[in-house]
Amino acid sequence: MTVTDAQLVERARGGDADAFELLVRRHLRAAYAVALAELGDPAEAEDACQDALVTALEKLEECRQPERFARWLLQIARNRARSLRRRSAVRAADSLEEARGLPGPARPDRDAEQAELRSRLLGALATLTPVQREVVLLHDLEGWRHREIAEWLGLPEGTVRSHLFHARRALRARLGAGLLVEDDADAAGSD
Amino acid sequence: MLPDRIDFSPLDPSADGVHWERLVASVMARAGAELSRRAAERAPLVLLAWWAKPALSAAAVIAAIATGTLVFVGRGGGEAERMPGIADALEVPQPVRAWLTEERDPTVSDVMMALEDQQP
Repeated sequence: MTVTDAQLVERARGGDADAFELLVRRHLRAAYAVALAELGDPAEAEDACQDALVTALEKLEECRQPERFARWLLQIARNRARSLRRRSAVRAADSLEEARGLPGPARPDRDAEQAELRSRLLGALATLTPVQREVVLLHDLEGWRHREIAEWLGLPEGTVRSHLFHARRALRARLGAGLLVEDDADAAGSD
Repeated sequence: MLPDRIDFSPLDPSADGVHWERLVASVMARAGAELSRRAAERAPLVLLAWWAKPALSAAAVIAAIATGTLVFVGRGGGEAERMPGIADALEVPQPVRAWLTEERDPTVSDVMMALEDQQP
């Protein structure tokens, strides 16, 4: 039987490291997606989501609805990312500028093709609005459903679908067909 | 119909297993101090709860025996003869029986022995 987030939060409040690690593994990528939508830089997004998880642990008693831990955590991640962006506005702009067309610094541990794909994706994401970035990353990277994203953003589900539509269309126009995945679920409208 | 899903795997931190584990480990390392603090705070509460349950049980048993004793003494019955019967019925631990029948106040070691008897 799957342990719920509410149960894990309760155990983590008592210092249960295994419970907290399970929460980390479940929600780190979603926090990263939100941070990436704000910052536009994967390394900074990783820093921000790590900060967010540690902050969430320190303030765990403030999570009034443990069953909604994910949404509470994402709010922390978003705030953290915005704080980082404000503090390093020039640095963030440089990252976006690099992503838009100029070759960015390649990670030593990734091959050139992956680095190039990453750069193209970041450049394309930078052309979207913040909410479009958040919607498309939560949906296509993290796998959230329209309803979940709508609840998180406080928007109607139809608006979320609209944002996703426009985001994908804009990304497709910039990226071409190379980074598209045929999605039967979307085609069937089952999301 | 929505355009096709975008393949964000080049940006996915979990796509590289080694990198992902490093990320998780980094979070856990930073969270270590806070987790230890929380565990240490909870430990006395757990110990208190462990003590409280048998102590309350013993207190309830003592109260029941005292009440029963008062009733039988009041009726003029031979409490020394009746006490074992009551104690057996209520499954009173032996240390408790001893100081009840000896009509003396329990010492600290009496209470400790009673609590030890309560442990599974």
